[in-house]
Amino acid sequence: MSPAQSALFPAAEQAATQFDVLTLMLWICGVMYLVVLLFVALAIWRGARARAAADSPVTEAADPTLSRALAIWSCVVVLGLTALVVGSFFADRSLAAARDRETLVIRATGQQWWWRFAYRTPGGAWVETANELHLPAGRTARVEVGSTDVIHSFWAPPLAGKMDVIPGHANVLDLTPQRIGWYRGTCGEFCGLQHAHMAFDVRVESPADFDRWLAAQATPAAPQSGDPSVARGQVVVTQGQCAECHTIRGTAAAGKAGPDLTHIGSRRSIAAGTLPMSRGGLEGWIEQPAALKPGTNMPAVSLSPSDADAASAYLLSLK
Amino acid sequence: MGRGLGTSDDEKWRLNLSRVAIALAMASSLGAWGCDSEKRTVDATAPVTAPTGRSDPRLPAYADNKFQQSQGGLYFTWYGCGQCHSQSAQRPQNFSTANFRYGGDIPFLYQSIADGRAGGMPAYKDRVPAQQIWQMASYVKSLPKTNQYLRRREDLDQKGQPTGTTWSGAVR
Ligand code: HEC
Ligand code: HEC
Ligand SMILES: [Cu+2]
Repeated sequence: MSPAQSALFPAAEQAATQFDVLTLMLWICGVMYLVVLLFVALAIWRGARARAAADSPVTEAADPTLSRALAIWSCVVVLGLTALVVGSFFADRSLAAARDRETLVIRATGQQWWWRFAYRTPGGAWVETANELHLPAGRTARVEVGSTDVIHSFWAPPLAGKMDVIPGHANVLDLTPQRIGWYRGTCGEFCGLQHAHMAFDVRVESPADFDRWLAAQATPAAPQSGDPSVARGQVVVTQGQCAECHTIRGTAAAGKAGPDLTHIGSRRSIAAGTLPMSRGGLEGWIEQPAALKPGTNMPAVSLSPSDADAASAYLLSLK
Repeated sequence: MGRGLGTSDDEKWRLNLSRVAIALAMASSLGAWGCDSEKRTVDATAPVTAPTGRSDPRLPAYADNKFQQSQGGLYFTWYGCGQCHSQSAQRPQNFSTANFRYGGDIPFLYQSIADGRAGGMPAYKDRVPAQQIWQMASYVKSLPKTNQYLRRREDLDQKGQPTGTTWSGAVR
């Protein structure tokens, strides 16, 4: 299995293009570097030989071979630089080119310190989720990145290079993933206290799986009544203070400041990669968000231990 | 060679001592120049109760602290206070003058926000944790001291933030 967050194992067309530029640069610069080292070694060897021949410094006569070598070397440098310029020009063109399979529009919004993702469904409605990006393999997604507060940077290394996330301005990047798997993206521009905990999971899946996932995300949360603890949790979360900041579609909770929790139980991690998803993790996060992620803008809401436990059971049931 | 520094153990010791003294002097002068008002508290301890009065020991940390004020401004936006007060809190009272009807100190502002006021101000104590009410009180308290240039900056800072139950995407 390849690493989840490495630009050296491209999983999308865009990252592959950039990887090609890197390879080209590595070859050209590597060869040049070796040649330079060779000449340095030659110079040291010649110096040692000359010193052995005479005690006093010698003035060498002009050597026509050396002058010719210098001219050739200059040509090689110019050729190498030209190859790099041409290579990066074409890579740039190909990254900027419109792709014919562009069907999917996703809005990624950086906030201190998490990611809001909104998908446009085939019906034209926007469906919100957070901190987990799903992409269909072989299709191009157009990601519009924006920010609510400061400059962030959207960076999923196996998929593409960084794209700055600038308040008041939309930047656009295309992603055409090719390899199915889980990857990890992160914020690539220092943005404050919890910059290090501003990651997102990326799931590249088959188009059929993706369509199923998007359809599931678009449905509202099912009302819970079976398990009494889950039912209590539903009351705590959707009618208490949480509802001022969080949306759970299908319930009274309609706050917009925090991540959409409609299908929080289906995500892999909690609070932008701070904790893996688990009931204990959810409970710990609800009781003391600032202890796990100091500086986070989610406040601690005072809940009795049994209510916190019920809330975590309810959230985990939101698949 | 001349008399270099730190040639004997005794001189080394004196040199280190003076270095420590300089560092201490620099650190204490930073404190004296007043970075205090920007001090951030990001630990898990947060007030969970209302202020008990003008001598509440927690007041100094909130009264004139830039960090608490800016957090308060953020929550003022998030909790949708601007729907009635306008984003710069000019309506229905003009918070940019110091004429608070119910008092402009944090304990009174806290009470206005937590318990509501007869003239149409809703009570927020069941909807908002205590720490956020503290911060919003600190923010409202700072408004009379916010000149128009600062105001403009704060408005721009808050422009892309979600508010209440509305959010139409980051400003583009
Ligand atoms: C003042 C607004 C606010 C309140 C009140 C609030 N939250 Fe949050 N919540 C946030 C923000 C902002 C985040 C993102 C924090 C971060 O990742 O730094 C968040 C994150 C979360 C997450 C992680 C979401 C994810 O996608 O990983 C969960 C779960 C959550 N909150 C549950 C709750 C519960 C349960 C309550 C009530 C007990 C609550 N929140 C109250 C603002 C709030
Ligand atoms: C539904 C509209 C509405 C909303 C929402 C609202 N307020 Fe008010 N607020 C009022 C009205 C009306 C008054 C005047 C009450 C009076 O004079 O009796 C007021 C008064 C106040 C006062 C007292 C001012 C004084 O002169 O002493 C404060 C402080 C205050 N609001 C803060 C807030 C904060 C903070 C929020 C958000 C958490 C908020 N308000 C949300 C309508 C609102
Ligand atoms: Cu960042």
